[in-house]
Formats: sequence, structure tokens, C-alpha cells
Amino acid sequence: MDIHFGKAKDQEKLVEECFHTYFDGLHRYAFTILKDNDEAKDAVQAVFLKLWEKRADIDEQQSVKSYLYTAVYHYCLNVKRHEKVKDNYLAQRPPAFEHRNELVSKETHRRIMEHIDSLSPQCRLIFSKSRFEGRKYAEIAADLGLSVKTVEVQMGKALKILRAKLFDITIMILFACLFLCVSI
Amino acid sequence: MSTAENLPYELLGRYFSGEATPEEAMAVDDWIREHRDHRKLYDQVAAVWDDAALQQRYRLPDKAAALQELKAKMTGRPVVRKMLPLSRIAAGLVLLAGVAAILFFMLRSGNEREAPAIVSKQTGEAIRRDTLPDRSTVVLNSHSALQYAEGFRDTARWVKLSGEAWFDVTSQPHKPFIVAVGDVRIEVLGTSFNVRQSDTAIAVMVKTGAVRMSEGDSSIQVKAGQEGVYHIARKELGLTAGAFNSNQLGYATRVFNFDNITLKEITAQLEKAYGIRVVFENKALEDCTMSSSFDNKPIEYIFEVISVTLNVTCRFEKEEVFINGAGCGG
Repeated sequence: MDIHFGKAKDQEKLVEECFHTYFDGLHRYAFTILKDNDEAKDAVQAVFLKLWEKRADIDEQQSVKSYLYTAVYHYCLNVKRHEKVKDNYLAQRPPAFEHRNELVSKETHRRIMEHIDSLSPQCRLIFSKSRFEGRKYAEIAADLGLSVKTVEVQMGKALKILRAKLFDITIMILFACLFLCVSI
Repeated sequence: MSTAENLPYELLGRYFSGEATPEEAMAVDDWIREHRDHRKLYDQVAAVWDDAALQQRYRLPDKAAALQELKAKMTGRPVVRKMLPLSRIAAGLVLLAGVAAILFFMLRSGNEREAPAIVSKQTGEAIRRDTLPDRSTVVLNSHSALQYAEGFRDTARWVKLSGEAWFDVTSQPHKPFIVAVGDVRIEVLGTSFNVRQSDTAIAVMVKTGAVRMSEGDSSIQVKAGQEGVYHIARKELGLTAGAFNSNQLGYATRVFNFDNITLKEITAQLEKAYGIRVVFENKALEDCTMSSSFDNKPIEYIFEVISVTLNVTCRFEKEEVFINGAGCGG
């Protein structure tokens, strides 16, 4: 009762097709959990390799998609579990410092920090704990004596406000420029 | 922007925080794909998230390279199947028959082996970055070609080059890596080096480790920082005096040491290394000179430095960079 991916040549093509369709999304998803671009890439490749080995047991497109996402999820959780074990032996890793985009993002970063300061105290606290300390929702909820749902709502609110403030400003600057250019 | 108000912020929050279940991650991706505006809004929220902390930013890796790596790992991996007991027995029988057949053919036809398929890579104007089956990397410069046997199953890792290429070879002590170029063979164990073939000479610049260059019976060793040259007409091997200019490897390594050279020369090198096109909207800027060094920096960073140093503006539009401004004179 083998459900097949077809003949050998087609199988490779199918895996390749899946790769093109899902790589971006899977890699982004892996990054949200691992917070590291290279580790995320390794995770996605490992999952595709597993898909390749199991190609005989997998049926149609739809289930391939959820297979891939689920596999990435579990793979990443596993990596994190191992990291925790490692961290118990090694001193806390220093935060990965990146030169990348340093010049570009410092100004933006400063502006975002200003806007974060202007959030309501609870909203700011929850956003900071999640974004800067990498705490889990459940941990934040327990810390602050709130429900997970509240944490979720506050996080959504923070993102909504920050996006609106930052991007409306960009648009205003853009308009100001246009206006100036036209009037000159 | 009415759709902005209906953004699934809570879902995105969970997603960016690393809390999303596989189903939620799929929902996010489906939502992004639904509409062009969704993509834009997603990017904005992602920018807020990324820029809030000066930690590692999200960056999509080179997909083609990732696929190459994956394919290299895929070859030789058997299908793993769940089997019913009955099919196991059948498989056993097939295996037995297979072994018998192999023995039969081996005894009959000696050591005849099927020749492995040859992989060919070729470049036009654009350079090409690739990963070989042994995970060594190669950067093939413009108008060059590379061939090798699929899977590197031979006792040595043979590649045949014409033109110019950079190699960063993984160490496999029992399986030397050999580049054949013209009459010359370059043998290495694990190192990084550049090979350039012209009409008159074949030059090997070694960045790390050491390589052996040989032609016929003669051979020389070229160490890190040295350049070995084979003169084709004189059929002679020798070392160039002094160190080579590492900017020559910039197309591959993206390591540049610009020492008071013109913006035109700088951008020519960047165009090649990063696969971009630079357009001078103000031609006078071509002659501005600057000094700086970059060690495999993102292209946006390099142009940011250039724009600050020379008082010019650098505008990105897809793969093109437009340079404009009052310029260096004032």
C-alpha cells in the first residue's frame, strides 16, 4: 500500500518543487523559534532530508505541507532543548552580536525604543519581556499574574501601535519630501 | 489603509515571539500569500520586530545554495519505508537475488564499473556560487566552466576547470581535492585558493593552507599568501615575488581593501561580487576616491559607508544602485 511520490526522477522534482514553495515560510518559522538564521537553515534542510527519506510514505501535496511545518516545529523545539542542556554547562551565551546593518538600524532602533516607551506600562512590560528577554507567553503570564490570553492581546496591541506610529511617520516624511520637491 | 486595521496582530505577535504552532505558522504564510498588501503589512510589522532589538535580524539565506546543499545530501540516501512482514520477506528474497546477480556479474565482467554522470557548470557574465558534493564551495567567475563526476565517488575529488574560480575546500585527508586546469594539476587537502587561467598563464593564489601545483614531472608548493604561476609558453612553474593583491579575490570572498581608488573601480568590483548593477546618475562622481576595507559585509552596509564617506546618495532599486549627489569635491 505504498503511496508514492512517483518515479525516482519525479520524486526529486517533487521534493524540489516543495522546497521552492515552502522554503521561505519554513525558514522564517524556524527563525522565530531559534532566533538564528543559520540554525534555521539547518533545521529546514534537515526536515527536507527527512522528507526525502520518507518519500515513500507521504501522499499528497496538502499533507506534505503540514508534515513540513510540523516537522520544523518539532525539530526546532528539539534543538532548543539541547541548547538548554548545553547552557547548563556553559556560561550563558553572550547575545549574538551582528555587525550587519548596524548603520542602518541604529536610528530606526532609537525611534522604536522611543515609541516603546510611550506604550502603556503593562503593554510595554509584556512586549519587553517577550522581545528582549525572549520569555515564553506562559512565563510572562505567570510572572505578572495574568492569563495567557491577556499577554497575547497586549502583544498584539503593542505591534499594532508600533507599526502604525513608525510607518505613518515614514509616509509623512515621504509626503513632506514630495511636497518640497514639487514646490521647488 | 483599511486592511491595516484588520491585521491579525495577535497571531503575528505569537508568530514573532516563537509561540506559533505549525497550524498558526501555516495560517500566517497563507495570509501573507493572500494579497499583495498583506505582504507589505507583514514586512512592516516584521521590521518593527526586527529593529526593536539589535540582535540578529531575519534574513532569507541563499535559496539556490541551500537547495544545492540539500541535493548533495539527498544523493545516496535510501528510501526508508515502513514494511509489512510479508514485504520484508519479499525484500529479503529480492536482496538475495540481488547479491547473487551482483556476484554473477562481477565474476563475469571483472571490475567494469558504470561511469558516474558528469556535472557541468558554466557561467556567462554573472558569477556563480555553488556547493560541491563534499560541501566544498566554489565561486565560478564570469565566462568559466567547471566539471566533476557526480557525487565525488572516486578515490580523489577531481574537478576540471577552465577560466577562473575560487575554491574553499573541506578537509578530507584521505580524499585529495584535485583541480585540473590546462596542463596543470593543483592538489590540495583542505584549503581555500583561487585559480585563474589566461591565454599566457595559470595563476594560483592561496589564501589559507597550501596546495601543490604540478605539470608533468615538476611541481611546486604554494603556501598561504603566495601565488604560484605556470607560464604556458615556457612550460615553467614558479612563485611570484611578494604577496598578491587580495582585492583580486573580492568577487568570491567579498573581502576588499580599497586604498585610495576611484569610486568607479570600487563599484566595478562590487558589481561582480554582489551581482548588482551600479548606475552613476552624476558622472562626475565616478572619479571620487576613497579608502576603506570591508570583510564580507552586506551590500547595503557598504553603500551606506560610501554615501557617508563621499557625501553621495545611494538608492537601491531591486538589483540596481543609483548614485547621485553633490559629490566629493565640495
